[in-house]
Amino acid sequence: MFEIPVNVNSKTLSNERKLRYRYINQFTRRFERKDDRNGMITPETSEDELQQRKKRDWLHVIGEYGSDDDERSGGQQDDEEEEEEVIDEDYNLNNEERKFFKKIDKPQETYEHWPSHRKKTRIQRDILTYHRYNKVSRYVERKMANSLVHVSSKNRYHFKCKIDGMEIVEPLHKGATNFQLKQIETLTNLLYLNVNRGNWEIAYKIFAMLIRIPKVDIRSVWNVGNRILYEKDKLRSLEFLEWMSSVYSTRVTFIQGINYRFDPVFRSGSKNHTPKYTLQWLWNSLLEYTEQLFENDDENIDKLIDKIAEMVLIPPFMDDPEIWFIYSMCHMVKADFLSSKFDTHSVGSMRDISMNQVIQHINDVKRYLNVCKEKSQGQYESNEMIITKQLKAFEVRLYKEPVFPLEPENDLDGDNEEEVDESNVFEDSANYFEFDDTQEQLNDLDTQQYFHDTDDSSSS
Amino acid sequence: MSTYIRGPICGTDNCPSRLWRIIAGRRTCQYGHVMEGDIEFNNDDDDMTSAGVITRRLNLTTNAIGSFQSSLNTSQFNNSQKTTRDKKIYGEDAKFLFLKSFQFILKRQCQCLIQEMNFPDQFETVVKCIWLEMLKSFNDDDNMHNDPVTDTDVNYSDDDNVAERISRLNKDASRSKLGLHMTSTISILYMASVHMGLPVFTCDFIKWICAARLPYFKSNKSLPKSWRIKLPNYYLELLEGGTPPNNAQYYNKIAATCAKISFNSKFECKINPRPFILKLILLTTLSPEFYFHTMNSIELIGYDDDFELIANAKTHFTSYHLHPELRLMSYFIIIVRWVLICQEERYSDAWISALIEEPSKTETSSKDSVERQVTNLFYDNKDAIFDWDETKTLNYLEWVEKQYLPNHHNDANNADLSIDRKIAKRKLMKIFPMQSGNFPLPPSEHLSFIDHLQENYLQFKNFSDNNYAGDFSRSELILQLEGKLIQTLAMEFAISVDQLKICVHKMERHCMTNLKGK
Repeated sequence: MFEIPVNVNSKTLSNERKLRYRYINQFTRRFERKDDRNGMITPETSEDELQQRKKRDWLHVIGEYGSDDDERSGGQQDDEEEEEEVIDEDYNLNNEERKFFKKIDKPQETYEHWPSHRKKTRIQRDILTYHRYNKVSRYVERKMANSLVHVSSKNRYHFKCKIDGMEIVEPLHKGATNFQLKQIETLTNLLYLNVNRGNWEIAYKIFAMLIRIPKVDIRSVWNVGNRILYEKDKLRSLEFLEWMSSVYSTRVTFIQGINYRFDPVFRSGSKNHTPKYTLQWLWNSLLEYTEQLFENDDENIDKLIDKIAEMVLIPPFMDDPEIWFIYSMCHMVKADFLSSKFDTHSVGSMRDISMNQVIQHINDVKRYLNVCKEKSQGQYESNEMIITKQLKAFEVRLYKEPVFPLEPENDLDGDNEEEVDESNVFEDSANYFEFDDTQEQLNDLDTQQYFHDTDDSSSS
Repeated sequence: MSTYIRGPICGTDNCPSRLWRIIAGRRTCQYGHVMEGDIEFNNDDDDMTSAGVITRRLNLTTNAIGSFQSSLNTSQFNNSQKTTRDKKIYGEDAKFLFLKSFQFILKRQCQCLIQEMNFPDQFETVVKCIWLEMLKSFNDDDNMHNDPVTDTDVNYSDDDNVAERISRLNKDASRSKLGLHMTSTISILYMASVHMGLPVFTCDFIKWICAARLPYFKSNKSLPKSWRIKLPNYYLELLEGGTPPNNAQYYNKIAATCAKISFNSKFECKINPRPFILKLILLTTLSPEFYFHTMNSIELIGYDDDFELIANAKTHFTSYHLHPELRLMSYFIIIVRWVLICQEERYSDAWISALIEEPSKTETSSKDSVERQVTNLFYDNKDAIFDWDETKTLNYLEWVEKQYLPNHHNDANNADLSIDRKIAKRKLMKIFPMQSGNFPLPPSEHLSFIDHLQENYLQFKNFSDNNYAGDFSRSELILQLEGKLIQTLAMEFAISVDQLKICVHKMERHCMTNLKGK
């Protein structure tokens, strides 16, 4: 029912893939080759032509030469056979699957077969007639006969049905039959069912068991696990996400030619793809630490800022606009906090220092937002209007005239004033976090839609 | 812009930086401190001009302690490990070791049966005898195949193909030489219990292996480590267990094993029908008088049966009704049908429909029912998991925690991991502790087998007291009941429904001819 977090590898399945890609490759090869021949024939050099004519003349003299057409077609036949041999050799050497995926671009951010912006595949404008289709497919079937001999009857049957455009009701691989896989499957099903029903306690227990089974790959279920842990203990879920981002590194390169068994969108990161668990971790910790901040605990948010400052120096984070956006948001929260705490009564160097702090943070926000904009090139848009408005509001707080600057006995009123200010702050922060919040929710389990939705919200 | 690499803490003047980059060949931290004693490897072979330009970049990663290690080093490290690790032995030695491992597992199973299921102590001796017979037959096979030309030469007159055929024969023979599989272990155990007349049947063994009470699946993990390292992978795979036996594979294996050692001539091979019929009655919650019905009728119709284990070495053996247990089962099903047809006044329609009725979900759970629940995972095709209520889920989880995880998640798996991954794993376990203590346990206490049985019968009694209000005629009801019996029993005994139906059909014909003969 649900995908199990284990790499299932069976001989039947791999054989099926091998057959499928071999067939597709043969077919395209044949189809495209025909294409070329329909085009213009490369003109021969006059030298060649001269020699050929000489040869023909001599043959005429000897009397062995038949009609002109015969020779030409015979020559072509030879060419064809040679070419086929070359192809065959080529095919045996290389992995069919790799070959197929070399032609198709599968961007790791979405991992779907789209003819992408790279335009590796060209659009076929030619019309394929039924007659020609038959010819090509007959040729390919003849070619496939050899490789069909050695596969199991089940695979052969499956393959033939697929060619004819049919699908067998009974799948080739009947799920988990193996003892261990069966337990994993059962646990996975129970996990999703209980998450669906909201039985977080049971779901937690199942998840804890599931990750203790040696084969299970946590990268396939981290999102569910995080959700469950979030329900139980928010701080521990942050810890888990941090664990994920530190253990599964982003140093590997994504190779387009490989068909990854699991789509790498949510599972992993690479040198140019920020893993989703890292993003999730940063967003979650930003939210969590912001709450802590307004309970006067500014230690964690400083740590977070330091951490992102480090991250932003290395790939893939240095090129990811979203990371820069989070970075600037961290500074914004900090600026909000400091400006709200700004004591308008203070004078002298204390005042200058705290004022400078706020202004520096505000400048950081602007700077990093600019970097974000630069890196995103229109793909990642943030609602700048709101942010600049907020930043102005922070700045205004610094230059607000103290209400009773010269009467120190009215301390109570001053406190009141500050409280009012604070409530404002909360409203404000709620205002600009509304935006973050929506993102956050989207981010939670289904990060893929993330970009779309931010686009929508910003355009609306 | 050169990119930074994460590494050890710089530490110069309390510098907190962990990020390094290379400036003018020197590793420099984020704040400009130069790392001392840093050497860069140059792996470019200057001699290799013919192969074009090959550059090798040193990819630096950090290990658990935080200091640099190059990926090249890890790959070299792995290579050096591989050479030490590849201690597999092949050929005759491997076969010998495999037999040793097989024996080891068999011994573990015997001990488990004697200690936990209260089997008699002599059981081990009987198993030993059977195993010795098996070994002897392997030995005979070996001797026979040493000079294969003598027996095969006579059969083929066609000169051209003789050599080819002989080689093929030899190949076949050597491939199927041992014919051992994990099902062989439970076949041997079953045969031993038949010899001793113990009231244990195939369904019990199947239940025990599926519920992980008997060491069976992944038993290669329990082998001594030195053996496991030496054994070739195909033997390890054999000892893994794979899928639990289905489609009467178990019965066929028993027959094959019997044939291999000519069990019937050396051991007691008769099945006692009485405990078996009792077992069937308990499994299907039929009323006890059917025991007498069945026993009497078997004496009447099946007078020519002696219920011996059959011996058959063929791989595609389809006369399932020759297996004594299936034979008895078919008798039982036929007789239930006949009794119900004949005694209409005694067994009302309501009585039958109560039997067909699915037993309602009980809040109670016995150890037996949990085991059956786990076993059904393998044999029930319906996705029953979606109907599991909380009790069932909790029962299953408890089983996983108590029986499955300890057996299958041991430290042997972790031993192969590098220290980094071990630390990572331990951290993960800390984030997700099991917390079995403060978790709500299944609400009910575990019932004993007898209580559970009583409850089943009580429930049935409640149902049968009502009047039947369904639309089905009596014959339809009987057919339905029979279908349900077949389904339940087929699931319990790891045989497909169709196979059991064919069995019943064949036995019915047999009964008719016997009756006519009288």
